[in-house]
Amino acid sequence: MHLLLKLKTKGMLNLNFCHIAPAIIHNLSVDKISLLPNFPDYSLETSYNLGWELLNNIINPGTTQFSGIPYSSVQGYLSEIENGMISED
Amino acid sequence: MMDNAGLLSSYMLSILQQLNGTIKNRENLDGFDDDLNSFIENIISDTNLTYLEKLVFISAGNVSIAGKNYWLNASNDPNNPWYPALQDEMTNDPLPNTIKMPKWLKVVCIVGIDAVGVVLGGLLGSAFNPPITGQGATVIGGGASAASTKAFFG
Repeated sequence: MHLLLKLKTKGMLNLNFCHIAPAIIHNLSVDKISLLPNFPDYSLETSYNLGWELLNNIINPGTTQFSGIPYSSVQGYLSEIENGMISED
Repeated sequence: MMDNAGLLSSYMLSILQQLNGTIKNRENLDGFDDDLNSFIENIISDTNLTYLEKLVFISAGNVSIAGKNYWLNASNDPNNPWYPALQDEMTNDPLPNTIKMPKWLKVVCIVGIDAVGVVLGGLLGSAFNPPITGQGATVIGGGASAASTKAFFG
């Protein structure tokens, strides 16, 4: 997170131009999910929204938040991953 | 599933299958990072992909490496909340309903789904609004991680 905040301070943090940032935020998101009070019985919607919130807090701390892709738009894909793809291999 | 949604061209689907194979077609985790870095180098030099398409696959490669390290650490740290779900069939698993397979293979399965999630997120982000392509890849990749690992808890 320290690296990301530094980049933000320098106005450099655009994830479309920072290929390693998704990996850092991905791991932070997974870590945050494990700290949810209802873990491991969290809902996917909770974890998804937590990811957007975390991303906003890192990229736009104290400023205008950007709106993410609504959960309803990705719910089908995530559910399919949760229910089906794990047994595919 | 992305193919059905019209998000993925046949060429991108072949790259996704290549990435999936790079992650999953293995007998252990030896050389994992090198294999993924080779994949990323090939994407960078691929002249058939647009910048945003490259972004999606490079992000997926990077998330795969970082995710593998995350899940491997979690599987070896008894204090990590994900630890119980990541134990292998040879141990006294504290959660009897978890999926039985060697923990390195669980890591590989989760990382494979991370990668699919990143690609999905990037493509959805790109479809919604190109400036949030990277953000979509990040968050939906995390959501895919959560979904796949949640499945291991049964």
